Amino acid sequence: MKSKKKFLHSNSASAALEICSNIIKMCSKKKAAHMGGALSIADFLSVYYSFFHEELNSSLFYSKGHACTAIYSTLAYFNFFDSKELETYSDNGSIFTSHVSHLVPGVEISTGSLGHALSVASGVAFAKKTSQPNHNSCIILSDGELNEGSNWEAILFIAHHKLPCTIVIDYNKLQSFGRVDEVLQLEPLKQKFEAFNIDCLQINGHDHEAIYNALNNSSSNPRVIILDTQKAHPLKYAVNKLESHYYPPTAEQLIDGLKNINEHYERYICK
Amino acid sequence: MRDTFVSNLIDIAQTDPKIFLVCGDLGFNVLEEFRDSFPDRFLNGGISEQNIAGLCSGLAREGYKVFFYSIGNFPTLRCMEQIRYDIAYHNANVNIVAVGGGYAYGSLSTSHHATEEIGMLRTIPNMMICSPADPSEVKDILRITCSDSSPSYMRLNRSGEESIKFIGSLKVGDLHLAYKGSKKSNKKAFISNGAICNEIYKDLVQASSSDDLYSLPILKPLNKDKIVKTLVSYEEIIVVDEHQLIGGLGSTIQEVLYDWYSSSSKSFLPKIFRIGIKDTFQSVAGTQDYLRQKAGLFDYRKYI
Repeated sequence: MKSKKKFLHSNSASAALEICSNIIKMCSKKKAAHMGGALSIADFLSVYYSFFHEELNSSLFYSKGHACTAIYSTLAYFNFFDSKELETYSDNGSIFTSHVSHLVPGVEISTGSLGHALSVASGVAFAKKTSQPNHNSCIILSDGELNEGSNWEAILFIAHHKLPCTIVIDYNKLQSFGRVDEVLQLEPLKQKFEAFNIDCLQINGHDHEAIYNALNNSSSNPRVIILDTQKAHPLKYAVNKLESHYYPPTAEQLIDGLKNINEHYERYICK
Repeated sequence: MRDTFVSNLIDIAQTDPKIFLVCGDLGFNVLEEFRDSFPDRFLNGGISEQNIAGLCSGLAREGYKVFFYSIGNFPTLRCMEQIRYDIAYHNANVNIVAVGGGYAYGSLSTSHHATEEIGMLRTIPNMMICSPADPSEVKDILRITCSDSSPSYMRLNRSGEESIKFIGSLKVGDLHLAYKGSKKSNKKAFISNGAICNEIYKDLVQASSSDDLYSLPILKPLNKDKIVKTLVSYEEIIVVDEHQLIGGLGSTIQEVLYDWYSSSSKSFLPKIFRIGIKDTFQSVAGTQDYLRQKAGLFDYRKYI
């Protein structure tokens, strides 16, 4: 995919500040889990939606459905719906379920069971390859999710048919009940994708300029971008901790967390 | 049934550019004509049913009426969660077609016996579940699934099934009268579907039986009122299903009749005798008929 917009750190940092703040507020208010993995992908989502998302020429498939607060907050920030609606998150009768729902405007498909979105996206990409050659599908997967065999079936398929898919791995190295390298080792991860004949980049997943440069590529071949990320970034009390997969912030942690988020992003934001 | 499916799908695809056929690396001597006639609407997805079920949902999102063809358990049990979540929950127009229903692939062993899939798929919302008894029902069901946007499953046997001279036309969710006995008193009826319905039909014709036989080619959605209206006129109903007893056709009929009975003021309910697979696997080699015999499926003959 190729951006029609120049990189402006201020734009994506403003988005990330708002999105991260909203994630921890939502988790705190609704006592919701999965904050850590939502924060680890927030920088990528901020850059993608600030500079790359085009209504008709791109689709984002968000496979790590448990980290729903990140995509909901992103779509609210980018005006897919009124952010007030998000206040119903996880309430009885709300469309904002605690795993991603396709009833939410801007969401392509429901996800929550891992290892599904890459296959569905590959079907869309297969159909669009002839009907809409400029279309690009971006699929965001978690690292733990790569334990699911269905992903590797889909990767074989995408590589074989050279589908214009950008597969993004949120490699925060912590899965549900342990570190990735102690549960099921993924390394050497980059070489695995390269062995499937898919170009692969590995970048700092919190560096907005690096994300922009990685995405800004006019190749129509399948690509993988491995984001080296930190779970619960940039919260000092929770970063890289497994607990951030489960515990919402306490009132005190929320105050500290919002402070950390402000400190982290405000340096990039033009006053 | 298999050849009827493919030849009719080819006919429909000639005029409907949205028909798309996906297979899981099989179809030798079966799918070549479709593949060669519509190369842009045919895909061999490889031996990867989970991925195929998901990508079929993706193709359906792009407006295709997708047919996913494979053997028995592979496009069903192997990817059950993809069917539930990617296909049924998103109400994607994906029609799963499996050959080798029941013990059709007898000697190929338990891996290839499709004897649980209907019970499992039947519980999934939005799914239309079909088990035709002869080529004419295959043709009718295909016409229905091509004009209906909801996902569906169709169980086929293999090939060579005889035609049944049905009385009346096939209607979604209703019983399809396959054989009408000579007596007026309507004491006993057989209900079946799939290829074993064909066997019962032949037996009743040969015996000039006075009993009736219905196929229930579409098990879901059901027109419960019509089924009840037909069945309460009988004293005994024998349900024959080449499937586990749990969750199959017999369960379906019992659910419909007993729900009706419980909510009505009627004090009469026909007796229902269920013939199906008794919670077992078949672990020896054998033809379809050998395994049916061994599983007790031909016990329906006691009632003829």
